[in-house]
Amino acid sequence: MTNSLGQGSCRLKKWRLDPHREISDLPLTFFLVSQPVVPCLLSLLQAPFVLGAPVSLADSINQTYNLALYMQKNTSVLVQTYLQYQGSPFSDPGFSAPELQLSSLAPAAVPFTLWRGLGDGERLLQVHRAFSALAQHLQLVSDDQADLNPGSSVLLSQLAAARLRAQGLMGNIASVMTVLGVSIPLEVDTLGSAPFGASVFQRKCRGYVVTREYEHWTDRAVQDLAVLKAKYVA
Amino acid sequence: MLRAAGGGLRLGAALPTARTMLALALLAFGALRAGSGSYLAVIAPQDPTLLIGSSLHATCSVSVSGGDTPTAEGLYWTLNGRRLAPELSQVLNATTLGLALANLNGSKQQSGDNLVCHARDGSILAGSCLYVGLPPEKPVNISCWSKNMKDLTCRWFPGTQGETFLHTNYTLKYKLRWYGQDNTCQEYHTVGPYSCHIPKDLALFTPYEIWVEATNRLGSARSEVVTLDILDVVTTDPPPDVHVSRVGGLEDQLSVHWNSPPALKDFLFQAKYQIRYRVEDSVEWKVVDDVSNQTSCRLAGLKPGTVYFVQVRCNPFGIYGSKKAGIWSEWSHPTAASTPRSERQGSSGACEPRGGEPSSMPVRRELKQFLGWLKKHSYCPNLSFRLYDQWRAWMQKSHKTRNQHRTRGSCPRADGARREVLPGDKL
Repeated sequence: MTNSLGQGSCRLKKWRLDPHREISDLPLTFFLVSQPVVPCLLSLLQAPFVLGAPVSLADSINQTYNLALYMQKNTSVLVQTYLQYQGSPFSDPGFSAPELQLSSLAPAAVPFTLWRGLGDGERLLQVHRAFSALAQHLQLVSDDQADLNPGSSVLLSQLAAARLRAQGLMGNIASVMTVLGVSIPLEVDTLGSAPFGASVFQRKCRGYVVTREYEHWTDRAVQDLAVLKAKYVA
Repeated sequence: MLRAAGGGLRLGAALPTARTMLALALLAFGALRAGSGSYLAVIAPQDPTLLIGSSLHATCSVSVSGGDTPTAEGLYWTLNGRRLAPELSQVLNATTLGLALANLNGSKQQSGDNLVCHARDGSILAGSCLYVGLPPEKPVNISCWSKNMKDLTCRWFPGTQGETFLHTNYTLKYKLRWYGQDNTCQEYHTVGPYSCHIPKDLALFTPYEIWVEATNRLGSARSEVVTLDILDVVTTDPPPDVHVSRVGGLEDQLSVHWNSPPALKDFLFQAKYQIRYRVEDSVEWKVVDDVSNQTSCRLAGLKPGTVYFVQVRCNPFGIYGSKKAGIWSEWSHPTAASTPRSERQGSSGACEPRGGEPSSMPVRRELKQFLGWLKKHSYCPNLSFRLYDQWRAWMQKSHKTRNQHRTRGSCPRADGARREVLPGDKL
């Protein structure tokens, strides 16, 4: 289930077309669509739905929520797999180092009342920004591990999958934001010049923090989308 | 990752000096914080590479980042998660903890041993990855083969020591002997960890020089150069369509047929073949050598009524008129066949009077079935135990073998009854 920017959501949108359209048109449209055409049609479809026909917003939120739930199943596995390959103490059972943080990754933890009081736009913006940063960091960790643990195909494929899922989630959140009329921020380079010159140990720690934060942010995304689901989905 | 303190990091500077490196590393660890305190710490040296058995002196220097006065008191070292004995570390000054390790063992993992400096409460302050190992040995025993003259696969061994404890990179290189340019093989691990495959652009009738270079953090080594012509190391696919069949009623022979491998059919060569066979429940193979350029062979001296597994392989001998042997192909998939049961077998042992009832239970049951079958399918006046034995053999055969076995004879029948065949029937 690897979506590149909203491609999966586009396909689903095909089925939830304008209610004025004939039912008989639906299968024909769907089968006429081939992969490269899909993003084209997405932009076509999005235009009339910017003002948020209730049907498409609910589906958009549902789909994003389901994606986040699906991702949640694998996030702790990623952390464990990652730690296994770094050697002791990382690979020791129950390893945890909450003191390690990355200044380029905002933590998912936030005071409850503050979180509860977030507006829809701000809520989605924070998650979108987080996964944008996570996708970049996961790429960095993949590169590091390809260098430090070249034989670890299991870890490398899990990191690649996580990065693709993060991007997929970003795309889905972007479509919810579009429907709600929230403007999607431009892609920001969160890493800057930070990665260069890091020592091996720093790189190992960095990967741990990234995979840990990926798990925390996925949990948070599920919660955020649950709030939106409660609000907009019947 | 690096906390952009104040003016931020300027990595645009030219090759940093050691001091700048330390300062950079210091800022780098701005992200690492001890429990409730807020120390910055850095270990020197970072990522050292060492020979097995050498010693290491390291330092963990703490500096301030917040209100607390940093101190080296209470800090401790761990290596790969295990706390190091206190006598190995010493407080060098107020903010520096030292470590003296001797006689280091090879690294536990290829990503390096984790040497960590911990705060009093156990949290991680800083770390350094140690690479302890040996330089690579000369790779040895390079052997290569070409499948149907189209490609080249080579295999080697890493040298007597083998384990270097460090990630060792192997590169297979080759060049035409008379022309200068070195080529590097790209597809590795095709037949095991120390192998490489060159898929195309190989010249025939001209020698290649091939060697393997091994490199790791501690050094490199190069194997001896092997010189070969592709045509000297040709192998091919196993012979296809291997069939094994009986030779008439001969109970100690089987006939094996096969086709020559199609890939090399256009090239003039004399194939040599080898056949091996074994009894079903044995592990010992018998080999028939010297099967030159034929596509069939008869195996003799076999046991009657036994299932045999047979395999054939091919050697493309004398490619393009050369007098040399090539390399044997893989064995073909095993084909099974059984020799006919011996005629004499049924009548030995049991002391059954002619026409009388046999004494053992299973034989009696079988006999009943047989008589029933006879009644249904034919009308034979000459019932005898010889007939019975022949029927038994026929039952065995129809269960065991898949090969064609033409049988002759039939029971004379009354009108309307179906014609059946019985082995060796003479009535």
